[in-house]
Amino acid sequence: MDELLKISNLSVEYRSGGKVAKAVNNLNLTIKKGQAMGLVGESGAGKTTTALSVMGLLPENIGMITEGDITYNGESLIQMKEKQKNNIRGKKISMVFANPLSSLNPVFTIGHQITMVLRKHKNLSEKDAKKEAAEILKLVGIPDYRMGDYPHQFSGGMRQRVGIAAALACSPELLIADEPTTALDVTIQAQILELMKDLQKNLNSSLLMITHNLGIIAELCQTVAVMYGGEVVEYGSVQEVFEHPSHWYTIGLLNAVPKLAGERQRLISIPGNVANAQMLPEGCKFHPRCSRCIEKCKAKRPDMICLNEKHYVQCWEAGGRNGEQ
Amino acid sequence: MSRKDFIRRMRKSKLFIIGLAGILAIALLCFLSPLFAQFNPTKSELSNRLLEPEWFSKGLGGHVFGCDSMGRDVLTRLLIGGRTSLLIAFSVVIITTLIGLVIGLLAGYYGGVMDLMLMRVCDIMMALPTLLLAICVVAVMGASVTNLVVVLSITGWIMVARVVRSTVMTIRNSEYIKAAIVLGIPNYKIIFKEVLPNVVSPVIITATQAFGGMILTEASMSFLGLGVPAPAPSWGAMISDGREYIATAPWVVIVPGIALMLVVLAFNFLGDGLNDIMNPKNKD
Amino acid sequence: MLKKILRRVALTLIVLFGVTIIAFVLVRLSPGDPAVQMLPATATEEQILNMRERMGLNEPYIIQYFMYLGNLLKGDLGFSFHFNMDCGALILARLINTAKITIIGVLIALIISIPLGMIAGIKRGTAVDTAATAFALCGQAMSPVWLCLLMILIFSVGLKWLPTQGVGTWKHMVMPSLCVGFSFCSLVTRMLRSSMIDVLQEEYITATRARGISKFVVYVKYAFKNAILPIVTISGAQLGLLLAGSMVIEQIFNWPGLGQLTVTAISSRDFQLVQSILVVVAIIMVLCNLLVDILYTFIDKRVSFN
Repeated sequence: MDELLKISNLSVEYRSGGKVAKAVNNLNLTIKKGQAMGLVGESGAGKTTTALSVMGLLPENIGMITEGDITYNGESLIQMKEKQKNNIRGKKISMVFANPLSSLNPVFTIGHQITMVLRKHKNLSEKDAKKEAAEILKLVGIPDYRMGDYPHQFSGGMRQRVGIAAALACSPELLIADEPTTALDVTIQAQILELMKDLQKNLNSSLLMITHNLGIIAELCQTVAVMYGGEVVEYGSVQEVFEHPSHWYTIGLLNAVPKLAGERQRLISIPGNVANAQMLPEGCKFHPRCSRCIEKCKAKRPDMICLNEKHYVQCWEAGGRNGEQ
Repeated sequence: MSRKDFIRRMRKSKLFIIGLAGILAIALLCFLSPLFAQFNPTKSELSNRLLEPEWFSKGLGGHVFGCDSMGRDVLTRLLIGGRTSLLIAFSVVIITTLIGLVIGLLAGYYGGVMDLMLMRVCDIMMALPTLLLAICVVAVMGASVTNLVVVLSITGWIMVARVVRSTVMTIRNSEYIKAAIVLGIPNYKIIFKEVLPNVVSPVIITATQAFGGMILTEASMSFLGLGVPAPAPSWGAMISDGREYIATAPWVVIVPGIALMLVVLAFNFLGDGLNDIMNPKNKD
Repeated sequence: MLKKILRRVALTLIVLFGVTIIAFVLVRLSPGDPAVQMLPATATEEQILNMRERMGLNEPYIIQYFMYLGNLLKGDLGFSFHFNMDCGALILARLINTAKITIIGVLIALIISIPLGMIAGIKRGTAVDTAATAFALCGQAMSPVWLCLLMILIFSVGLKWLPTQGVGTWKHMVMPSLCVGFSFCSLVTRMLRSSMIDVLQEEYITATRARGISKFVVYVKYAFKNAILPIVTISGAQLGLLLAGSMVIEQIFNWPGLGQLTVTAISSRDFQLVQSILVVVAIIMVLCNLLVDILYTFIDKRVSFN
């Protein structure tokens, strides 16, 4: 499989009022064509920042890429001219946002919010764009007579369908979904995920699924990357990582998921708070919260080590390696 | 927010500090002017008619900003007039705040007929431009400082009442007030202990922001001859007097105009600064 | 929808009714006998009594009020003794003059303030932003009186480009229009700047950009429509300030508009005329507010007509 998106050594900082927050630190990720990758981590781990960096939509004058490169089909997105990027955004790479309540413009009809993508990228006339938008909306389960309605007239789940329709309108090669179901009811979540799964399969596009819900990753993705403190601490195939978690953070995450089967057990939570991007610790970013922390962890950042070709981890004391949990 | 937090945010707000410093400086100059004024603000001395500013030739000892068409010292009139303007604006703001607070609280808390009537009165008052209504009333009552205060108060309380009303209505619908009502706590206690503290900041912000408008309206009225009666100095009247001589003695008009702008600017800064400080939406 | 419209119309009528009461009370409180004013100074006691009878001044106030209201409904705005003509025709002629400078002033204000406010909001913290903010702050702090005189000083006395007062060519309209629009211009600049800053932080703007829409189109088409909403909301109330400003401005430039008419009516104690002006102004304000509400519901469908 070809590499579609390659993020190498990416570092992003937010600067505002003399404060610097290192949101992403030397991050590496590769997404292949047709592949679905999950990006998992707590809030504040840098997942959304990574997504916005790929889109080139970091908040202006505040968020900036300080290091590294992002290439799309071998072409650097960072060096690309704005005009060229506009031709890629929404057409080749598109994004579904976390909150469907705030990601649709309240003063434009949903029909318009779909047609604007089609008109921009497919050069369609108003009439043709409308026709096609109706088709796409039908695909996500919204009847065409509702095209003239405004976002506030829809429920959260319906709005997210609109968001997905807008993102998929031009059959993108890569879809970035930033916690697309967080703001929705559980039953609606399932519908939306099912919908995304079908559409991704039919369009054969790649998917970068950002979430803190491990179940969604297991359901939708082939590979998974675990983020902590702006770094990828563990990645590999979903099966490998979930069955043999090796970073103590991943182990903690998996232990914090309630299980339906078996005896009732007390959930084990990870102590402490998520790393503060304004004062990241030296060495391994996770060490203040890690139960297996040794002196080495405090001093030096571990390198990414290869456990097998489907599993990489960045930990001095990679636990799962020895089978202990 | 705690007092400490409040003071910290106050120190950080440039707008607030500039505004406050400006107002204090202007107020001190105006109110202490009788101590150092060298000229009589109302006595005309025709030999000094339209005397040019003596800032450069004589420094602070002479007629710093020159003299007007009746030979009166512009600076002295400016300071004494400023005193009147500030006093009028201050009285009006206090009165309108009190009236607006009471009416807004009652209408917002009890709703119903009271609210309906208040809103209709607001609608009616808002259908007439403030200045128009004010000069009509003054025309009927006669021009005097007291009447000016009364008229500006009649037209000014609406702003405050509306702000208070909408704030109170939001609080009224919150869970903790409902809980207090269910617990049987008497209304007056709820109003004083729970509602009132929440409307203090919006009221202070609105009142401060209203200052500038008051001073401008007062100046317009004095300009039209329906404000502070002559010969007492007022900035509006000074501008009006200097109109005819604008080509030959522009300082008579320019000086009070700049003073007016600085005062209003200082109050607007203070209002915006307070808004930054007190509004919980604005994080620092 | 129909119910809401009916409700709105009812509210409007209540407001107008209230204004007629205020106008009526003001006139009754005013010093001087209207009958005496209507007659030449040489009129005899008997003539005055006759006039009072004819004008209905001997009836109880409540009857007088309804007579007045009845006349109003018939379109009779009364008679101005000072101008010796019908109030209705007089007000209409002056109103057109005020409308001329107000509309031109507002248009100029919008042409300047919309791009200025948007650029200041987009380029927050830059020199353009600082300049625009300074302009807006000073503009709002300027007394209209002073602004007019300053303009005269610059354009008439200094540069000798424009006439200081009167009516005639387009040159006569320049300064009054600019003065009427000035404070509105600075207000819109300031509000648009801050609402633009707010809107640009919204997720739907990022989402629109994520669809490949260029920055320029996002600003001008998508962010603008959201950012303009608070300005539409206050524009109804702003009309009051514009009309108030025009009272002083017309006085200074000797522009024969409604504002100048009001000042003349008051200084000549022609309270019949004052009364009619109050009612006409209220009608204009109410209609404009209605228009603004309708406009708002067209831009923002979240707000239903109320």
